[in-house]
Amino acid sequence: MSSRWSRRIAVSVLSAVGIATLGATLAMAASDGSTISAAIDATELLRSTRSLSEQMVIIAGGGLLLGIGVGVVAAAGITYWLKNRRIERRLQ
Amino acid sequence: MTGRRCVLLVVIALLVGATAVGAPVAANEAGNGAENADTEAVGLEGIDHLVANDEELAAHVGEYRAATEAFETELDELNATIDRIEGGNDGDLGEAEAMLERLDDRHENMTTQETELRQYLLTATSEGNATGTFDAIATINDRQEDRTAALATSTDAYVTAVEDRRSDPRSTVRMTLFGSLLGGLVVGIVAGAAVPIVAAKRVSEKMKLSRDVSYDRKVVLIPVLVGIALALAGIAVLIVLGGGAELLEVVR
Repeated sequence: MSSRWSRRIAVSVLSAVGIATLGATLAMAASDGSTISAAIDATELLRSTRSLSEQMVIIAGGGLLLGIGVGVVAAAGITYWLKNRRIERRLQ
Repeated sequence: MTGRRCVLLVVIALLVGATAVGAPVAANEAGNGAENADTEAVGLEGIDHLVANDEELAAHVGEYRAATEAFETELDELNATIDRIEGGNDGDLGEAEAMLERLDDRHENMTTQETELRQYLLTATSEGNATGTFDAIATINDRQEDRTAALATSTDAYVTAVEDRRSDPRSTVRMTLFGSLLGGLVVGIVAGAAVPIVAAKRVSEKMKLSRDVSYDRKVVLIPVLVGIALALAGIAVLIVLGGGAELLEVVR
């Protein structure tokens, strides 16, 4: 009788240890994996940054075209709207 | 005769005594040396008696040890790479990336071996072989915590070192992109405003002669269309040749 109870208690303790260990393992595995992934991501980002810093002409050209385009559209639209209002006012 | 006998008896007694005492000790040491080769290296000598009688457990311990050594070798290489990067020599970043992927694989393998060994020890314990198994599981858990801490420290140091090395080229890319955008914007504003201003002056001069004038929207049509075309061309250049999302991630 006593040995049966001892066995039950041992099995319960073992189950608790097993579950706690499994949980800790899964949590550790998840956190470790993410730190290595972060290191891999950082390496890829450094490579990308290096590569882009060697393409300054392309980036400057693209930026210049985009800037001119946006500037022209915005300035032409706003200037036309202001001038048109002034001309309409004078015509009234 | 008596003296010779005495000497002979003493010699025999010494030989028998040495054999009786020394042989088991030597045999025991030799046996333990062979059996403990794996367990000692990973702090599991408390389960030597189980390993000696259980081939499957011995195999688990052997795999656990091999996984530990492989992981530690890769972690040492990561630390050497950190020292190199901090010293200003990035080396081949592709190799560093491959090393990190190997470290990830070995870390996963390490976790698998730990789980399997722990599971085996738990099963052995539930079957009645409890001597030393709880200590062995605690040792595995402690070593796992140490490994996790060492890995986190090394990977954090690596990320910091890599981020430091990224600072200069990132500034270059940012300056190039935002400088050219700003310059383009100034040029575009001047050019875009010029057309409607010139057209408005003409209308003003005509108004002096007649009030039958109109300031047509068509005067901005061409600048707006040209501006949209230029902006789309700029976006295309930045996406196709400049990397697009990669560029945004770099300047972020």
